[in-house]
Amino acid sequence: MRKRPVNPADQVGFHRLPWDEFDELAQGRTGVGTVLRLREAERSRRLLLLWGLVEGTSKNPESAGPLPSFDEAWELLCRAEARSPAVFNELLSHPYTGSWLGYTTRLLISGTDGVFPLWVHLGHLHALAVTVAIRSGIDFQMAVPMWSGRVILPALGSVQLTGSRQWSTADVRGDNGCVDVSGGADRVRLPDPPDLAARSWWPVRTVVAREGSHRLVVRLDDVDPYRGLYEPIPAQRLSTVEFDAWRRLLEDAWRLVVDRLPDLADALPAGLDAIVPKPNVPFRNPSASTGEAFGSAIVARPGDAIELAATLIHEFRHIVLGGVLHLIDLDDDDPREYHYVPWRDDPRPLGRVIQGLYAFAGVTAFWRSLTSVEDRPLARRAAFEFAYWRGQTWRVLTEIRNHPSLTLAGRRFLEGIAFQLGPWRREPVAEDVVRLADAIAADHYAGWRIRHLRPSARIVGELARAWLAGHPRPAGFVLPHDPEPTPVPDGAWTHARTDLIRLTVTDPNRLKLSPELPQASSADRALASGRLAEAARGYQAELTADPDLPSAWVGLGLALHAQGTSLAARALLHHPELVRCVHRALRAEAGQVPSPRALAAWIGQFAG
Amino acid sequence: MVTSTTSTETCIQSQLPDLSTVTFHQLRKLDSDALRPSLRRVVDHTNRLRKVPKSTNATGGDRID
Repeated sequence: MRKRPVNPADQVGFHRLPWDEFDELAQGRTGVGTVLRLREAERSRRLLLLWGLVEGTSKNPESAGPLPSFDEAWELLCRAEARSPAVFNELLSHPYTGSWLGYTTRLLISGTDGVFPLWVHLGHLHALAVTVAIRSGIDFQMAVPMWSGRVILPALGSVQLTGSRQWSTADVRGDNGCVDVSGGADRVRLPDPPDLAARSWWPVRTVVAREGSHRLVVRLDDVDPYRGLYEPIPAQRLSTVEFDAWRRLLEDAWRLVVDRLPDLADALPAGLDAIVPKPNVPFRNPSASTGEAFGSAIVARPGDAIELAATLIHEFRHIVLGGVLHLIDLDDDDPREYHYVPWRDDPRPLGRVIQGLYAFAGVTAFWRSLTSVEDRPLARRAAFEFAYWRGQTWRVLTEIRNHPSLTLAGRRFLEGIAFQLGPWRREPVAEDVVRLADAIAADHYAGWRIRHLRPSARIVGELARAWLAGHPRPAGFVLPHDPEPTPVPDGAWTHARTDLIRLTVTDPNRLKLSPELPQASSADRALASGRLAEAARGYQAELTADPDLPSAWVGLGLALHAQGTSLAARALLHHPELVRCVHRALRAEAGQVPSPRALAAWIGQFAG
Repeated sequence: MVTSTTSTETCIQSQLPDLSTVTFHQLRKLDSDALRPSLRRVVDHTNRLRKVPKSTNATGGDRID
């Protein structure tokens, strides 16, 4: 049959996004219609990649290895789609179909193996075809890849067969509604329905959280190999107890989202299909997502439902923005890592700064919505987080708002964020809470400067010579602009002090039990408890023992600042990198070990 | 990925072909020569978005921001 000459430019058209929806999205008012529009675009993107994959392999049929040809897998997919187009589209929309397509396309282009031989990755197409066939109820037989004895049926589950090599094949047969998976001498029949657990069968488990008319349905996917950020990863099965804990957290978190941000609760379920559960990390809520896996977030189990709700909102924003970025660029792809962001320790390129800003603007909105709850400890915690995040997001927004690498759309997007954040800056928050939020903001900013900025040798030398000569200040000295940050930190990061300060607001009782923060020094504990003079002495003692210790330089600045404005505090919180480098130079070149506080006060006269 | 970004227009028009009415079965009947440049753009763009240095964030996790 002659191919129908379809030119996408002329006959299919291109995806569009109305500007008013783009603006609403930037302002944090994403509608469900916009999310569905982005999903449609994502479907086209994946269909195109799927086409490319099969086109690429058709020129190289041996790349199927021991599996049936790609044409056979294609035919099975076509047959299953014909029976049930909705099931096919569901599998195409499965987040990890997107990450598999991206990963495997890159392997195919570069002609290299991945974590496994190329045929195993390419053969995920066969596994997709089999899964659609199972769910659409057709009869079939097809070989699929097997990884260390495990057969993956995306979004459905995983079969474990015994006595298998690191990678091989298994046979899957569907006959009149019965599905058997066999490899070697082993055979497993899938339960009916397949979401039931059975011997050697791990179904992908789903949580359905309901609150009023709002429903959130998410799979807790602990088996799909393409659920990670970078490389395929093995299954990490949650125990039943862990799964139940996740289910309760999700139900409670969803209740909060619906109660506090009902408009968001309309749109969020359309953009979040799956969560990759990870173990809890005390005092942290690590989470991640990738623009290739639209609909998925990797989330470490948080300490409570409130943190989980904040994380869901954060990741939903990343997911949505990831969809937008497949349609339009917000910056000119300047990969230099040179921006400070308070949510990471490393300097970031502009595109990533925008991603984080947008996600944390959502987090700010969430905490703001909790400041009016009747539960007073929770309201105080929310006020603290609101004060912290509104300040931090605004700081970043201000820095990049007029960046020359922004596209027109990028500028418009940032104006949308400003439209949401701007009025919140004037909302009243208790003074003591703001002071603590400012302290952890100052701690991280100064900590970043001292680790990632390297003052020029000329400036450092000039200051060291003036200090040694006993000059009140170097003649004609002008502080230059900040140097480009370097990605490698000069000194290890620790966040123990921030955690302690946060605990004074969020969980004061836990503060007393804080041996669980072993990295916190006695000076950190004194600072968090308000014993400021003791803290300052403690940090000076730490610097006597290790004059390079970045956390001690910054801690000294925080302790001095909390006692009242001083020149030393100003220098240590605004230019700690300069103070430490001059101190180093004096030690190395003059054999002198000046008092950190005295040197900081001297530099604070003209730098701060 | 974008062809048009002027604020006076009502829509952002991307360079991503709209295949929402195309079934999987129809996909191989499309004009390969026409699809190939779109595929190349998608791959290039996706590679660009994936250039994520892996490191820890202020709250301890790997993330894209």
